[in-house]
Amino acid sequence: MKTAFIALATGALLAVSAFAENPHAGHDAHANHTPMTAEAITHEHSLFHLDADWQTQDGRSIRLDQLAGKPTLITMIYGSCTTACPVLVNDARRIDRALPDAIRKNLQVVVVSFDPARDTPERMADYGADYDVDAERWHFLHGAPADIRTLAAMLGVRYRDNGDGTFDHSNLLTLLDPEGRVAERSEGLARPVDPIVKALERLHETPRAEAVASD
Amino acid sequence: MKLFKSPTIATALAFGLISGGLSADDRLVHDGEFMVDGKIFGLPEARVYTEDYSGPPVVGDYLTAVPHLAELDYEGNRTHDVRMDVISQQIEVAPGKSYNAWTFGGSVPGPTLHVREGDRVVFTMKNRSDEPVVITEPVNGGSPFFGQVQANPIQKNQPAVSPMPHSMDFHSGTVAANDKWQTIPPGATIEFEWVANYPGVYMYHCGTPSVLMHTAQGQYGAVVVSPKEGFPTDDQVDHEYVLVQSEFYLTEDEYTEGYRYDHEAAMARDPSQVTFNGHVNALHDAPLRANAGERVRLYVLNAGPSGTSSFHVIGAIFDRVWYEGNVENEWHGMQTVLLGASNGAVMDFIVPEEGSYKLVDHEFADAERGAAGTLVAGPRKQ
Amino acid sequence: MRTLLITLMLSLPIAVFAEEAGMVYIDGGDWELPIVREDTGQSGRVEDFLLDVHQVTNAAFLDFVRANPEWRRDQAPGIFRDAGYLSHWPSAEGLGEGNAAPDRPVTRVSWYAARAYCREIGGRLPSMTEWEYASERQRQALEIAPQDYASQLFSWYANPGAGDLRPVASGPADGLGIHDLHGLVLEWVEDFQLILGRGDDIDLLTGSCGDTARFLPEFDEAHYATFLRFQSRSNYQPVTTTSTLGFRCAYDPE
Ligand SMILES: [Cu+2]
Repeated sequence: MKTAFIALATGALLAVSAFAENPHAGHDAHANHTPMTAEAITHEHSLFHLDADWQTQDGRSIRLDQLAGKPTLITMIYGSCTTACPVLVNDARRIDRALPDAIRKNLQVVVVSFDPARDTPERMADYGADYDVDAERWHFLHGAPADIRTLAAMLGVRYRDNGDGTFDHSNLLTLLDPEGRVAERSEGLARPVDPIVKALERLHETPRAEAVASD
Repeated sequence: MKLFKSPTIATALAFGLISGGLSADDRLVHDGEFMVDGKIFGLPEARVYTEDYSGPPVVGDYLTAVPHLAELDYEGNRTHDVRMDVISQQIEVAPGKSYNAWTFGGSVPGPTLHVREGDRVVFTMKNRSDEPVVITEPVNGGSPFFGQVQANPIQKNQPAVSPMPHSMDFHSGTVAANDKWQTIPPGATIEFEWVANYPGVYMYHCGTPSVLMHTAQGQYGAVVVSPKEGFPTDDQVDHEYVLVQSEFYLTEDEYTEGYRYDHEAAMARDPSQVTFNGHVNALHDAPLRANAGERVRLYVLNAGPSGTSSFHVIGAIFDRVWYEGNVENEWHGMQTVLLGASNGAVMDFIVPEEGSYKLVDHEFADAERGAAGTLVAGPRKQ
Repeated sequence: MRTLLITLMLSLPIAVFAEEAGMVYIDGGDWELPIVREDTGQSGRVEDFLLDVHQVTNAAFLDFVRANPEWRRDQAPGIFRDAGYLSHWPSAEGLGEGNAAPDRPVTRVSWYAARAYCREIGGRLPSMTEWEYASERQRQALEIAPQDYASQLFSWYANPGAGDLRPVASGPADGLGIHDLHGLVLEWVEDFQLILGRGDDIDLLTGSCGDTARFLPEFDEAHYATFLRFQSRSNYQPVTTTSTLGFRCAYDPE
């Protein structure tokens, strides 16, 4: 909380640099949409209970419970967002790149769009390609509006369609453990990667057998 | 949650074994805490969770019903585990005038918490506004508050159900309000800590909008933080009482029997009742007691929500007044003490002779609406 | 249900169809929320939609639970509901007396459960804007004076009848033909957390103290009565269930 201002300021700087390498840059609809503080998460339940089909950037159908068994880093963005979202995806990439190989190869990264009308799987494929990430482990998802709203509620992400192609939303990265429970959250932009990297190291060291079955 | 840096310190604090010989660092309990000018800041984030709790809605040895104040029977500082759940309760504030109050613990004002400057409070509150909770029957594991309410049930407390989001704001705490004082929905529980950094007579209240409605509905009470070294007259005080003044804005309900909150009157600051300790007869039916020549100490809080109190005792002069309850703010020989909404004060006076002494808000429109009480003085004890 | 809806719509004028299916067709229009949002300059547009004439009953929700046992109170995952979910029913698949009677509005349902129900029957929860729009249109149609609207709502807030709810649609449905928008139980909407939410940066202090002035164009009782509804809704969690919180569904015209 105390560092929010600093984080935002840094985020704005990074946003400028991300802007340069973002092919969707130039779309300047709403450069200053409002960041919304994420809702506190008060549960320790698995998100894999979400009964919904999503489309990956290569058109495959996927359900969240197919991610079981490995940790997953998840965030929500929209493709035409030129300010916060590129920073957020870059934050996920910074975490990914900071990991030792043995941990990285098990990490799955999920980027879900708020904006299914514009962010088709094809467009998400382009979007993902710009980040030069491992498409095997990185899933850019398109889903039904109701499922997007449900997932956001489960993660504590707030968002609002401004009706002009922009969305106000929380800037949140959530790490799910192999059972789909929230293991760590990082709110804000361009935050230190440490908390999530450390949480991933802890998950890596915890023998699977000890993991409690989730509800 | 209790990420104590050192189990020894935690234990020592819990048992109240530490009386000030600690280095600054030892008073810091959680990672991230820091000290400025002897005061502790940077407390851990509040935790909101759900729990299966249906026990007493008020837990803690130092929580009492007005006008009682718990005795601090320990040396130095300690950590208090305090629970005050939000419950809905039908209460009477004047003969025949009852309404569904939103309360902390079931009475209006809620329980008075007494701690010492430097103490730490680990506070838990479950929003049980959607659950009928009875406070007028014997309670196991509850605080002294229940016995005192049951001995003098002037508000005729009856359980009610009125689910609403609520929050808790302790004026005695120095924290980030958006975290600790955050609103929780019915069924949720919040836990947070605060340290009594400054002595005083403080208000606590629900801060959920409309804050006017939530406080006028009854969600407030007093915290007394006694100064570390006490007040200069402590050893001469014979009786201590807590008085909370507040306004009620009630109107007859057009749709159901009884009374309800009148928002228009609250906005116009036109109360239907102004009371000491939550009932126009609270200090008449059970007057305060003392004897001629004794020193009486009052801990007075004006909870508002919107009015002022010009607090006066007819026939007495306040020998000493510590405004806001801070020992540094000492006044002498005061006839009337003006308290704005949420101001408090500690007031000592010497009972002149046997007789009846009226306590009033000298703003007589308030006194006429009920802000009056009685202290009955017996003869001088030899 | 979805098929039924489409078939019927092909053969009947939409208003007739809606009425028979227990819905009301609501014409959209330009409209502003009664609560001021600082960051919007544009006037809001509400599209046409259909709304259930009454709240979902215990009986209807029981049908849904029977058909979808994953929503039984003993099977619904904890991530989708708090401990009070359907706790007023005598058993996981059994109704009873009073608030658990078949004709009473279903309460103690989480936002997730309400949405699952509406989705199952081919609908959705109304958006906050749609619900408020319907409420205001209904008030206009019934010519309810602001003071009467306020008195009724404050009376409900003071004494929400949580222990003893009426059956749904007990009175006549005048005006738009919608029952019980006010005075029976509060209703979930799709975007309940937005506006005045504790996480909404346009209102940093809403969670802690009253700066309601920024949200109210007028300080009369009617606006406060409305504000309290917004405020309460915003502070629920999606798993929250209470004895005075139910829902009804909305539908898109095909
Ligand atoms: Cu409250």
